Amino acid sequence: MGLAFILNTALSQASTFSAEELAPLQVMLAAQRSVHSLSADFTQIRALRTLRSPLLIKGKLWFQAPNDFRWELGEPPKTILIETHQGVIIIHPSKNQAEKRPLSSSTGSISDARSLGMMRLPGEGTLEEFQKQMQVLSIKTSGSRCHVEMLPKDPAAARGLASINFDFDRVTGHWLSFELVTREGSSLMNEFSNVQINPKIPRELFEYDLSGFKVTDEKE
Amino acid sequence: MRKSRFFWVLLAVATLAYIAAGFSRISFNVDILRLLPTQLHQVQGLSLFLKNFALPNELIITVEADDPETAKIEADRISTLLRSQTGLVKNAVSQPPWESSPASLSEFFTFLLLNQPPETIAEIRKKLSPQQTKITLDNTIEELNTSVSPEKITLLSYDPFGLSSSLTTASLFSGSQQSEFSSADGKFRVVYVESAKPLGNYKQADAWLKRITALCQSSSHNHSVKLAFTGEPAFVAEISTGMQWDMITSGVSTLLLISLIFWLCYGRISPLRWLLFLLQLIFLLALATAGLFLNELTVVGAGFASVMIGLSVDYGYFVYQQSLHHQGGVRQLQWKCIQNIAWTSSTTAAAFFALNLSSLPGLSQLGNLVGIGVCIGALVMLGVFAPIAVRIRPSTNASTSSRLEPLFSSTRFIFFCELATLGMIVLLLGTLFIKGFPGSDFSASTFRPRISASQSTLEHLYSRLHDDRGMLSLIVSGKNSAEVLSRLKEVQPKLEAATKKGQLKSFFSPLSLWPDVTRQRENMADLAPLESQLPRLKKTAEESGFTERAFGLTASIFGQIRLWKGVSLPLWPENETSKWILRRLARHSEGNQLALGIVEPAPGHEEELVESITGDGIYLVSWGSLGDELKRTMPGEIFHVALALFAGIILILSFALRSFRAIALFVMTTLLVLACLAGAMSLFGMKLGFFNLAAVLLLLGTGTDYSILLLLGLKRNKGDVPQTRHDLSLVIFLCCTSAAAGFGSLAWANNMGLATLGKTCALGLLIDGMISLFLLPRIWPLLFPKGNAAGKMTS
Repeated sequence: MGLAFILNTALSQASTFSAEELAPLQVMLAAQRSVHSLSADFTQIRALRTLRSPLLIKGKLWFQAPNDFRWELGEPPKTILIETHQGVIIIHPSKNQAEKRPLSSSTGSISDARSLGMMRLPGEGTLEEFQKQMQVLSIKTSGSRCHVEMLPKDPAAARGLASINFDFDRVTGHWLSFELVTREGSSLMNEFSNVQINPKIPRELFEYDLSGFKVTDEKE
Repeated sequence: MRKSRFFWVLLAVATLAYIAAGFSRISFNVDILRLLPTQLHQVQGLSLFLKNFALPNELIITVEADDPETAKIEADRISTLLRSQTGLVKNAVSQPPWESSPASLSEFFTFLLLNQPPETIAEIRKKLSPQQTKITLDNTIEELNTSVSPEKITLLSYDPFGLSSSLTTASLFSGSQQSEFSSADGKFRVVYVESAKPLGNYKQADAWLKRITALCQSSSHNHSVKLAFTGEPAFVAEISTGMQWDMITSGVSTLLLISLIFWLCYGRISPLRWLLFLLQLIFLLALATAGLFLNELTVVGAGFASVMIGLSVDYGYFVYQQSLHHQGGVRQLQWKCIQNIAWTSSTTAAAFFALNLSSLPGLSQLGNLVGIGVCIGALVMLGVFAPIAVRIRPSTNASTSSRLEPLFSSTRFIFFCELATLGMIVLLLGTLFIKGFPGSDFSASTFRPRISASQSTLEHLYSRLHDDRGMLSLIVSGKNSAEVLSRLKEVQPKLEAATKKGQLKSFFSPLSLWPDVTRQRENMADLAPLESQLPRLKKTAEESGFTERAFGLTASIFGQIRLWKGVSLPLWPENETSKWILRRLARHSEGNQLALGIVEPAPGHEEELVESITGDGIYLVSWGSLGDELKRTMPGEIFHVALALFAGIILILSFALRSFRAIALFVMTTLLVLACLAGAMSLFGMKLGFFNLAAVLLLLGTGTDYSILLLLGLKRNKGDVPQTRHDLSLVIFLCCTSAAAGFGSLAWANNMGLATLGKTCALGLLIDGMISLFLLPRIWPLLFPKGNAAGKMTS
């Protein structure tokens, strides 16, 4: 799931693109295979059609293969999302509130995270699998930057989306930005910086002490 | 001669007119609940549900493809195509109305807002106050920037003041991919099609469905796309036309079997031709009478037509058999037959009419239909067939006897049959002893057709979309809106308590949707003045960074409040989107106020939930709970009716036989037949259900005739067993086999209830016939030793 899902599925209709055009994508996918852990800073830009100017917020993310993921929005964090094999916790530290959701939930973090571009960065995807599930709309390269526009074939992931725009370094395969553009005309973009591949990530990052928090659990 | 011919012509014309008039009034009802006792809580609740929420004019078309894009394109194409057929279709929908027109939701939001408690409205007023507006908008911006919920971001960006955040029904419009229109993977889609005109009867439903099906299939060029049809019109058309087919096939096969039996017995064509013609006439007359005098026929009730044929032919056999040995004229033959036929037909008809004592409308209908058929059969056979039988009787003595008469006179054959009967009894009672009584099945599936494309489609739809088959429907009714609201408030704490006790997993109560007139009046008064604040609110929103687009919902809500000002309460939303949302949640026409909710019970707690939640006008129902209720109540109900019926028969017999021992023999024979039938059902893996129990009543009404005839014959012949056998064996054999053929022909009916009833009755009749013919005469001498019997029975 996550990026693997996106990437595993994205080149399904790439038959309109030549092997040469798809080569940078293949390089990026190959690079993902060697990613076992990752940390990065990002700037989230939410450009909503109902707002005069985009909303900017900085954040951090950590990923540890195979499934552990932490996403923080704001400095200090206003929203923290932790996903492990046990499920998802969305924490609002300033409000002392937290929501627990199962991984399979239709409204859970997987779809939320996917919709908002909070993609994990596993690297097991192959071009063929990617092509089965994603439709590539365009591929453009400019210097070392490669820009891919695509749409998931899964209607649950594609719902309301005009495109998913994904920029990466075609030499290193590292992510540069990830953007969701909705049919309604809004966009949600994450620009990555300070990307570290395979750093040592403390286990505690994927845990959170919820003492004193009001916790709602979707399973209950 | 001319006068007589004129009479027959006049009679024929009158009969045709009568049949035409009766058939023009026949209306079939496919609602199985019409067969069940109306005092049962589940029957009342489910009837309300079917009447109000089953949407009789809405066809459901399912579209399934290998990929989501094709499925969507095809579903959209079908809905567009059908919408263009304005003479056929009122509306065809392949996606929620608010997806194509989000603005249309504002009316429903306003309706919900006006129904909120005072504290919510006070909170909204506070959020919109001049001191708080800027803070409210800043908080929204913060939420928009930090929320990880796409739904929340979407809603808040168009509702910066959070007017909708207090509404508990936002889940109705959730962005979940799985909905009533599409499966999660998008490969399975649903189009809802409403007919342009109400579908008044099954013929209209069938014709309309055929036209829609043809349109959809002829326009589809993608062979990988699978289309299927379900919903009320599809069920009505399928069940009714299926019943028509069942009636025709069982009627025809009964006639064929009767012909075969008659031919084997007498080997004559001419009387057979007349007999078949008159049986069809009886069938038509009985159905026409039912059409004229009964309100409506359930499709299952109409399926008993072949039973009438099987019973009426008995009188034909009797008249014909008597005519073979008759030397006098028509009047003498009629007089000779009238006592026996009047006796048997009146007891049989009385037994069937007595089914009206039951609280089961299905049984009453069966009783009335067959009772009418039996009376008409007796009249036609005596009035029409007797003169014909005299006219066509063979002149030579050689051909007056039946081919089977020598067989029934053969002591070897009788001995063989007695052994076979004994063997059958040992086998069936042994099975009953070892395997016990047959299991029971009162589930709704026993009322449905055996093969049903509509049912298969519906089950596939459940498996691909939201499967609510384990859910209970909460139906709250009332004379007026206030009564429904009061009952919804009454049931709410019960539902919450049941949740705490772990009896239910979740529930959706329509309380938040049902208009509260007091709240609507007060909230309207509180919110309407805020419309004048719109320019200020808009200016503040723009200063906080929002565009004009973000203000649309707020302006619409206050605009709607202005439109509703002065409208009589309770308020109901009326645009197409609101109607779509409410179509399965509420009915609010004059005198018919209903709210529908859903309760998901914890496994094993259904019964206690139903008991604790239900009350006056409050129903918690499901097809599963109906089965449980039927299982609890039906055996007792049938037992009481059977007891009354049996007591009536005993009373009549006590006058006819005037012997305690003969009555005891009748009772023992009947009990033995019922025990053997239970053993046969266990042996063949049949289950006890509504229709099997009804079959017991039928057996009491018809099967007991055989033992009664034999007992009366023994009385008449002063205990002479061989003479009685000579007189009655053939007639009882003919009656038993033709009645069994009539019932047995139903075994292949597509309607499972009819098939079960047919099989059970045919088995019971054959067992009854064998025991009456071959066992009862063996026991007679034991109870009435020679020399004693004649005196005792004739005294």
